[in-house]
Amino acid sequence: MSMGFEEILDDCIERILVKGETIDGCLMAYPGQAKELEPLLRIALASAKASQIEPRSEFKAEARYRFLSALSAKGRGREKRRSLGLRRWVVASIAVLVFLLAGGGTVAASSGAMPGDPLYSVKLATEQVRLFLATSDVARARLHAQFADTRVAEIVIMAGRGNSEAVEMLTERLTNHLEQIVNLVGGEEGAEIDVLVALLEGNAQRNQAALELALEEVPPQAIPALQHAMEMSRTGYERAIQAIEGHGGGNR
Amino acid sequence: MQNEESLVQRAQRGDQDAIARLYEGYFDRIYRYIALRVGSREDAEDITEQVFLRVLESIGSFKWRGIPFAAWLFRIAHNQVIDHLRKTAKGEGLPLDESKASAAMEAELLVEQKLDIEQLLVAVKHLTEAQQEVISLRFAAGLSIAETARAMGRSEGAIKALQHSALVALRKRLVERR
Repeated sequence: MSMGFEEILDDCIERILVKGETIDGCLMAYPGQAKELEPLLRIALASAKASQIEPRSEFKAEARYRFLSALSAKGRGREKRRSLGLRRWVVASIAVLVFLLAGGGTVAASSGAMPGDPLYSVKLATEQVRLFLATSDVARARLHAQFADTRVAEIVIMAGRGNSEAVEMLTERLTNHLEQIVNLVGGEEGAEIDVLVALLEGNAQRNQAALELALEEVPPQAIPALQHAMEMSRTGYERAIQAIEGHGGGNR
Repeated sequence: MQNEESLVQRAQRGDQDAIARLYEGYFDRIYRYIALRVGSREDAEDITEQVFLRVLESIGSFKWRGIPFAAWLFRIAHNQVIDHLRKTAKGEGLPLDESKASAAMEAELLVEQKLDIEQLLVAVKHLTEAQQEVISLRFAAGLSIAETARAMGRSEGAIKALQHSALVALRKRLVERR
C-alpha cells in the first residue's frame, strides 16, 4: 500500500527531527513529492525551534522548591519520615542548583540584599535551601524564627525608604514564617520546644520595639503600611507562642 | 525516561523520589508547550506550576491501561491552558499582540534565534485551536505522533492530517509576513 502525503510528511519530519537526517536526504527518498514537501519541512524545522525555549533558571529553582514543599507536606500526612533517598536527592539537587544559579560568592553577597535588589531572589533561595537542609522540624522552625527576624529588619529599612508596597509584601512573608513555625512544631513537646518559645518571646519584644522606633522616622506615606506590619507582627508572634505553649504541658 | 511505567506506579504509591523524578523529566517540556500556547512568560510560569500541583493531587487516579503517562500529563496542561485562555479572553483565532509576545519571551530566547521564535509565536496564534495544539505538542514538547494522538484524544491518522494542515497554515502566515 502506498503512503499518502501526510504519512510521507510525517516520516520526513521524524527522519529530520529525531534521526538527524537532512531535508535534502528526505527529498531524495520521495522525489515525486519533493516540491510539495520541501517548504513544509522547512516550516517544521523552524517550528522545532520552539524546543529551544527554556524556562528561566530562577523560576525553575523557585518552582522546584514550591513543588517539593507541596510534595513534602503531602508525604508528611502519609508517613512521618521522608525516605533517605529523597533526602539525598533534595540535598544534592538544591545545593547544586543554588551554586549553579548564583555561585558561593554571590550567595554570601546576597545576605544584605533588599527587595528590588538583583540579589534579593538569591537571598530568598538561600533561605529555602537552608530550610531543606535542616535536619528536623524544630531546626526548620528555628530557621523560620530567624527569617522572621530578617523580614522585620527589611521592613524597617524599606519603610525608611518610603516603599509601602515592599513593606506590605514583607509583612505577608513575616506572617507566613510565623505560621510555618506553628505548622512545624505545633503539638510537639520537650526542651527544644521550650527553648524555641523563649526565643520567640525575645524576638517578639525586640522586633516590636524596632518597628515602634522606626515609626517615628519613616516618611509619612509609609506609616500606614508600617502600622499594619506592627499589628501583624504582634499578633503573629502571640498566636505562634500561644499555639506552641497550648500543646506544651506543664513545662512552661 | 527509563522504565516510566514503574516510576509512575511508585509515584502512585506515594514514593516521593519517583514523583520528583517525573517532575524533573517533564518540567521543561510542559513549560515549552504552555509557553507556545499562551505566548507569555509570566502566564507560562504560573500555568506550569499549576499543572504540576494538579498532577500531585491527581496522580493516584491515573490508570495506565495503554494510555501513556505523557498523554495524561499533557492533557492536564491542555486543560489548564484552555482555562487560562477563557479567563483572559484570549480565545482561539484572536491574534496575540506581537510586541507583548516579543517582550514576554525575550529573556528565554537564544539571541541568534530570537527573531525566528518570535515570528513563530505570533504566527502560531493565527492557527486554529487544534492546529496550535498539534504544533505545540509535536514541536515544542517533542511528543511523538502516538503520544500527541493520545493527548488530543484523536487517531494517529487525524493527527498527521492536522500536522499537515497546521504546517501549511503556518507557512502561509510566515510567508505573508515577509
